[in-house]
Amino acid sequence: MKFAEQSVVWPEIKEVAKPFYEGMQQHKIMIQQCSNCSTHLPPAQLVCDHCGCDDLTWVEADGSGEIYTYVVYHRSFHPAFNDQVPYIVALVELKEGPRLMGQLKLKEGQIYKVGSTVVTGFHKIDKNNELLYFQLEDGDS
Amino acid sequence: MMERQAALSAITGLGMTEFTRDYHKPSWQLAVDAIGLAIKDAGLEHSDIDGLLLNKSPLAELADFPMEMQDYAGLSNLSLLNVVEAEGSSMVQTIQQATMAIQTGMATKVVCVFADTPLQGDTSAGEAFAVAMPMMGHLGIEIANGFYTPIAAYAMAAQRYLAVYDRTTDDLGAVAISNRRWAELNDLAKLRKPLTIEQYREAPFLIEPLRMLDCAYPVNGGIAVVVTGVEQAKESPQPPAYIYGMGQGHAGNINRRGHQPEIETGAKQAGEIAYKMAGINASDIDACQFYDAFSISTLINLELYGLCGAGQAGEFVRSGETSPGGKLPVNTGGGHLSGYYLQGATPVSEAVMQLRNQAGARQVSKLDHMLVTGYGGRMQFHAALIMGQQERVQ
Ligand SMILES: [Zn+2]
Repeated sequence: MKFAEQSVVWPEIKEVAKPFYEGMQQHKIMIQQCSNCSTHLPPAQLVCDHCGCDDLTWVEADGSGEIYTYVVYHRSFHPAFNDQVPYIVALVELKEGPRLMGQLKLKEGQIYKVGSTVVTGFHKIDKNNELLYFQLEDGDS
Repeated sequence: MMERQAALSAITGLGMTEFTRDYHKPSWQLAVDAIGLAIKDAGLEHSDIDGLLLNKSPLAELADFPMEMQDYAGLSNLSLLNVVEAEGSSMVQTIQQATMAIQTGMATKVVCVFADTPLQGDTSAGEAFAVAMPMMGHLGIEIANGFYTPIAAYAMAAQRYLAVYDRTTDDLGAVAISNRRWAELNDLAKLRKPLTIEQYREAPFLIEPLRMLDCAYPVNGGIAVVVTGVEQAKESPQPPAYIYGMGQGHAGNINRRGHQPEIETGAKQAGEIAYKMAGINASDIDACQFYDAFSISTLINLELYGLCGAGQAGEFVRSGETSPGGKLPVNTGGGHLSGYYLQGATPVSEAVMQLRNQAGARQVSKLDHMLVTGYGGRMQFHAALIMGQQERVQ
């Protein structure tokens, strides 16, 4: 596997995940909800893991949550991210329950840990696409 | 006490190629070499073999490790042939499938083989495994966030573990040091210089909280084993390594509140099923050969296989219990971190050498019940074996 073969940093979006990506372009976090048991599910599922129901609807999440876990890249493993090192990728547990992955963008001197409250922001990563990120709640954006 | 069981099958042949950091031949050719060595080691002829189960690296193409391996290895008239794809749990699963086939009479002498060549001259180890790591299912958003390499998924698990149990990276370092102490005693191991906790702390983070010392050491190589029935094993020139219990656990990758797939894995289920089949408890385990591509997984596996309390594995390892002379030797060849990373074949090969009492300076004295495991993906696919030296469970 060579880096040159995977220069794309925007995923090929699967049909089942389209509402999430369309929502993101409008600065909305779209998650799924089971119409049978009301469990909120992380996108993008076909079947509710709780009750097995396959009637899921897309709903907008509040966009706030807590850091569930995170990693800090001290080395780049892809040329597109060379100038971002060190960067933080977090799994955030949204208020509704599902977890989402995004980079955690900090302002100078901000302290964070597992359990810190975060809110969602969006930034243009190329001419077509907006990508979500997380920031600490007390940060003014 | 539960009723102790008779063995289900035995490993009677072990074939290992050279393990190298430079590239000599493709993985299918290493597989053919390992198959031939294993058959010879078992005192059998090619014509005796009636089963072949292939364990391809998840990163390799099927075309590089195809069903035609049968022909490459000169094996005809097989009554069992398959490519077993369960990521890092595959090698243990091949041995489980071989055992089930032997128990039902579908086959009698089955070769299970793994080979891989992640290092191909112009490809560094980091590059070889630098694929985007799927954690979010169909969403596919990892790639846009720069979430590359399996190291990252295990760093996520490590950070969650350390936070939940209020531990430090010294717990991870303790695992790296325990493995290294075993590797010092193993001629096959690749990293054998003594390692101290000070050296570990000084090493830079790769993907925090993991350092290079927390990651597997890749090599090119092939390993094969021959699995037979218990009666057949008595004719083997080598001491049989018996299998008493087998289990799998696949707890799913549920990324929402109430589930922690990073630290509550299917290992628990795999262990419970395997212990029950063997008629033993976790407390009966004398030694472990874990799949340990990353240090964090040894801590989590010690806990989920019932060998340590939750959050206590770091203290257990640091106190020397898993090291040479400890009461629960773990990864006695140096494991993936200091020995050699040939995925699920690494723990299996070390288990066979130990159960034959052929492990030289690192030989463990009491081996009535050995736990041998594999896991794959982001630790969501698990398979376990209970093995030992006697025909009946002791
Ligand atoms: Zn439901």
